[in-house]
Amino acid sequence: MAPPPLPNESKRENGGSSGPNTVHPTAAAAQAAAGAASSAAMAGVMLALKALKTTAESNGGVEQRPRRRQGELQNRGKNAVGEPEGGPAAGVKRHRKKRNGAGQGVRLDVPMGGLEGPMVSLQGGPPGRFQSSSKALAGLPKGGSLEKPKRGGGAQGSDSGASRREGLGLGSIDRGEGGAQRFDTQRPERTDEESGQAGSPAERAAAPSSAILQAPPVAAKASSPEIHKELGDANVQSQRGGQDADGVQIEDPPGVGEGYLGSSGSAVEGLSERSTSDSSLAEARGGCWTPGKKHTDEDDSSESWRKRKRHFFILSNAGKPIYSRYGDEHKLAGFSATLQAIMSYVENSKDTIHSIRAGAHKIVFMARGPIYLVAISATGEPESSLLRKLDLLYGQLISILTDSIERTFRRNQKFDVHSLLGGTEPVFASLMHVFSWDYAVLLRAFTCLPLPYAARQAAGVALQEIASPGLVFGLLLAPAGKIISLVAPRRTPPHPDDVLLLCNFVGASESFRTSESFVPLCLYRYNPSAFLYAYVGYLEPEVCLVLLTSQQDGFFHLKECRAHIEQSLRITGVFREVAAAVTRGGLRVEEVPSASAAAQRRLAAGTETGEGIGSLPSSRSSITASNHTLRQKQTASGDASTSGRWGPGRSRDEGLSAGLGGPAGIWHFLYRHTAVDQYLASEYSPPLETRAAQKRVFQTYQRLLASMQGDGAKSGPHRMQYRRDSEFVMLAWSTSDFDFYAVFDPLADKDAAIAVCNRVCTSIRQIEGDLFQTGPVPLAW
Amino acid sequence: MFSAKNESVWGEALRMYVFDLRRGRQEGQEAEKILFFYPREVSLDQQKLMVGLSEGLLTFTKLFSPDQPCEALYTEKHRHIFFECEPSVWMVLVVKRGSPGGVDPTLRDDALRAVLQEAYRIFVFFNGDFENLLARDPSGAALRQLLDRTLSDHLHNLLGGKRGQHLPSLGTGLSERGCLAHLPVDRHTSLSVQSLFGLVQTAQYQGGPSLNSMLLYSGLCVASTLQASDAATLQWYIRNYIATSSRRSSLPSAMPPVSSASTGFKAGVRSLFSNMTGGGSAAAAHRSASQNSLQGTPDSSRPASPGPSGEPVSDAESIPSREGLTAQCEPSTSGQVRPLRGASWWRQADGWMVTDAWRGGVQPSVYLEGGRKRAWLHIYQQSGLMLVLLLPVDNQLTSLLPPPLLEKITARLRSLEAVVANQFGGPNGTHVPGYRYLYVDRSTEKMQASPAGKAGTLAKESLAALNQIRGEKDEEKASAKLSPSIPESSTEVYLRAQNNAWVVVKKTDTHELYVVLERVSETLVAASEMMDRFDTDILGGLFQGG
Repeated sequence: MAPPPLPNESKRENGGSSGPNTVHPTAAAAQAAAGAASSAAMAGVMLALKALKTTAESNGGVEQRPRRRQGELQNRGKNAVGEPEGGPAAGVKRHRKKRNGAGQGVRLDVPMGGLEGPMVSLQGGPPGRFQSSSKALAGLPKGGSLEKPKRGGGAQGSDSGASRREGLGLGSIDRGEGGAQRFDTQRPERTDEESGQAGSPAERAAAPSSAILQAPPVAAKASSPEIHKELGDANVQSQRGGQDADGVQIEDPPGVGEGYLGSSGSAVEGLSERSTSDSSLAEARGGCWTPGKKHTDEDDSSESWRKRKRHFFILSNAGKPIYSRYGDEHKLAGFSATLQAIMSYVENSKDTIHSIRAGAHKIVFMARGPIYLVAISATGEPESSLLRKLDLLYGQLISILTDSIERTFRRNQKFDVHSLLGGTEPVFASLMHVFSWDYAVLLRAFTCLPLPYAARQAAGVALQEIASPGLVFGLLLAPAGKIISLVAPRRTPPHPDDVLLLCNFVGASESFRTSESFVPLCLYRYNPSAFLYAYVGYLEPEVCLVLLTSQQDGFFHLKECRAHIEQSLRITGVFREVAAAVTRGGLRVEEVPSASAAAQRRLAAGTETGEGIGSLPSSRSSITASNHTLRQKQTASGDASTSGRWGPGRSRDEGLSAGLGGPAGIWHFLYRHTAVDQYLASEYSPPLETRAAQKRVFQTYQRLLASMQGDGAKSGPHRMQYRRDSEFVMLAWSTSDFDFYAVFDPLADKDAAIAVCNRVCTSIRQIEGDLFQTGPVPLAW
Repeated sequence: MFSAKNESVWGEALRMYVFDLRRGRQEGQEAEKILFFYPREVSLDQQKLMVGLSEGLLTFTKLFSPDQPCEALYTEKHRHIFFECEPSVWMVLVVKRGSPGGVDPTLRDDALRAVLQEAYRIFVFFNGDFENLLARDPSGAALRQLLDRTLSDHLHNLLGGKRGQHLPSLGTGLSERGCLAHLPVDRHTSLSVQSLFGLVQTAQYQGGPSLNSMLLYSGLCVASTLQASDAATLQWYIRNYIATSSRRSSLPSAMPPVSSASTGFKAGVRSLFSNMTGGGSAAAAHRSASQNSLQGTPDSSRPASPGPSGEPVSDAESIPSREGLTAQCEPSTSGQVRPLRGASWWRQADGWMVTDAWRGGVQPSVYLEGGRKRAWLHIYQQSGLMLVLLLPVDNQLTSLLPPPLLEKITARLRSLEAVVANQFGGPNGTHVPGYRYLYVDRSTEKMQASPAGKAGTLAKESLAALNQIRGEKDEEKASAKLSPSIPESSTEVYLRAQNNAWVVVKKTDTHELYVVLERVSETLVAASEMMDRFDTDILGGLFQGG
């Protein structure tokens, strides 16, 4: 498929902010990638991928793979990179990075098997790799894709291990020419901060409001004398950099006195400053949302404040407001005290308040130690849904502060946490937006960018190739929080909630796009008591790399890893596939194979997969078995096998009219893959093109999911539900393997709706390798 | 704040209290707010704490929802259900969540709120509304006394499971408290009953008072001219307090000995009956009855020690001594009326029911239309049929029913009794094999449901799923009330629970149908076909096309 057009290119060249759905505009980047690709070091990989592409193209542009169970996915992944016929032992061998005096190299042994010949050992030379990304950025036109055209800093990493050490020692700020931003090592700036005093707000405010580079924790934990000494010169440079008119701001180190609380507070300090006018972020999230806190002039005496549909509050058990979605926390001190009084009143009777109902309003309370969370909603959403959101809100707080904030509050009830949360408003504001639009909140799962299976595998291989002893998770993110690939080297996959909050944290600021960042972040489902350190860097406008490590001084190593990953992804064409996928969007209901196509497929398969909602196949085995048979038949039957296929790359013309105007009028669906906790949401199609309609659909799903879940005690979870009201027909179907939720035209016929659901589910199962990350890393938790 | 000694403030069992937000606004006068608190054993301080919390929640929630403040409070151990029975007067029910001794934690709110609504309706039915009582006695003492007696008696019976009453539970999901249990009859019978009521109504054109009538068979309502809520309350009272009594003492010999000097209500009834049978002068009899009643002459006809054949039915508790009680016709403020405690009803040989619940031999009277209208209560029983006549108290009891009219009515009742008995079908007459259902017509507050015995055979999972879906529908109804401009649409839900049972809800603007199908094919299509058959066969296609 041809690369998508670059709608924002001219805008970018004019210094406009970059949109998340655009591909990298610079030819220099492509040249750099091509140059790297042509190098001998990468020849083997290229050959392998070329062979893979050839195979895929011969199959009509969509790779044809035999369906396998999850346990077989490992082998499938090996096949994707050219597994030899010799068996698993000849699969991909990955070696950890070996460092030598000349820098870090990645040894990638790619068995070419019967495709390209014998195994090729690659010794990727670090200079070439690292230069490639920096060249790409350095080659940007003046005032190019970066947010601030006049910003001097460019993202350029140390080119070798030696230069890295040099960088550590000197903290040199190497500015790229042509206005391209360069990365700089961050250092603490002031001795008072080193001794535990956080930088004053005034000082921070004095810093330029853009391109703030995050301080690595090694700087944050500046209590070590060695580090102090090592960073000494860097301070000078950093301070200078902070005062530089080019706008490169070195992030203040945390206050050591507050430990990692200070660290986290410092680490996120710049977010509010960064997030000004994040238009592209708003665009990515639907075009109607602007980041940042709104209606700060309101308080509980304002009629407008009272009429807000959904409030969220965080307060301490002493009644001190910590966060309010609307209004100024300081003005809401009285209201916050009232909430605390109600909770305490009940607590004193050895009871715990859960919720209050008042007309259309639901008030839900949650106590997490000394932290109280309250939601007041008039949106009609179930209490379980509000509780879920409060839990996520708490998780976001913990992701910034860790649960040591609870100990702090226990020690000192009057503790003012605002100093630690300064600048995090965009993160919480973004989370509020996520609450209203992101199905991950409802489904407790994350979603993947629909990608050809080979591309996702290649991305996974690139992530897995990096060898970092402290690496916990590695993610490649597409816009709107969609996962391109996710690896968990420690075999402990991240919880979907952690992924959601991480994506929200990264997506809350457009400024992560402008520089490499290394921020402390707590994954509250993983370990609420400790920070991990997240390396965040955008490899392409629509591809964000997040590497989470437990090593607070791991920035430079991860920076090197980033370069390697970037190069690998470029060579393997993943960026191109991602750009195409982003442009293409997700699955659309208009493209659901029609009954005739499905029948044709069944005919070709020679099997009647009549099971479905109407007859409720009780297990995955029946579907899997039938699909397996189907695939075998497809292989043998040529054209008939693809006639009813539905998936990425299929044009709308090929799809049939089961959506709007079709017999059952399916409007939207959600599919949750239970085994991997991933979901798929169809794109909004007419008549759901308006935001109001989409919000109604979201709220309808919200109620439907809560209803299917039941009360969790005696009722539910249920197996199936069919609902019809004046707006929609809704269908929910839960099996041990997947959950399916669909919205239909209110006049949809019951039988026809069921038939469409069966077809959709069957089609998804056929291409689930393109839609979900199902291996090789087991994602079951 | 609570102290350690107040740990039991929430208690282990049910609490119900009534408070008036307009009263006791000064500090130190909080107790003035409290009109009723059950149980009485709870100390005043604890009462004030609980009422204070409720008042605080109401004040707080009015910030966001001024028109509909706090309706329910959920805590880990308790649920507080609020009901504003009259402006600024709130009733609160506090129940423990979960066993032992509590209600199911998932029980829907409206099922519990119906307990409050029922209690309020019962109070008003016998005593009138709060507003009038407070207007008569602004100190609230009379209201407190009446609340204490009426609601305490009611809760005593409810919690004790007496007289067939019970608290709501998951097992009662296929019933609707406060609705009229309806006996479906064929069109011809229905017309006959309407004709009978028309005949009764002709009394007013002949100079008699306008009458409200209700016809019941075996406790089920065949027809009524009352407002839906009044009919439901009256039926509740008859089923739980009169039908049981009358069944046990329905023989003519059960009539207690009546002295020649019998006065009051019985005299009035007897003269009424004599009028119906053509003997005596109805006007004279009623005048006599009224005069005697007003004179406060005690009813000497009540047996001092009921004999074995005429034993009145009453609660286990002894009837309080009548000493000190003043017999009168106006029961509203005297505290004499305890129809829910120690009440006994007899069926006399002439078919009319008499009671000693209204102490002092006063004429039984009830309040209709939310306390706005008071009427004398007359009940005539003929075999399984029970004809209830409600005569406005402001009408003179003269020319109640002219003798020819009474004769006609009696004859109609005899013929109807046989017809309705044929259509009754026994205690399980409403059972439909394969279905467990509840149908409610909100326009008339009538319901038809599977017999309790049959509904009790449902699995717990089915009942829990039914309760959940009903709770969701309750919320939707409440939302629709908040937006009256948006017409309530017809909805349909098919839910397949973990035990493979289907819970089906169909709803239009005025009709609701809840069905549990436990023995059905596992497909949605099969369940849908079964529902279509039920709708066609039982409900006449009420939900088809909706």
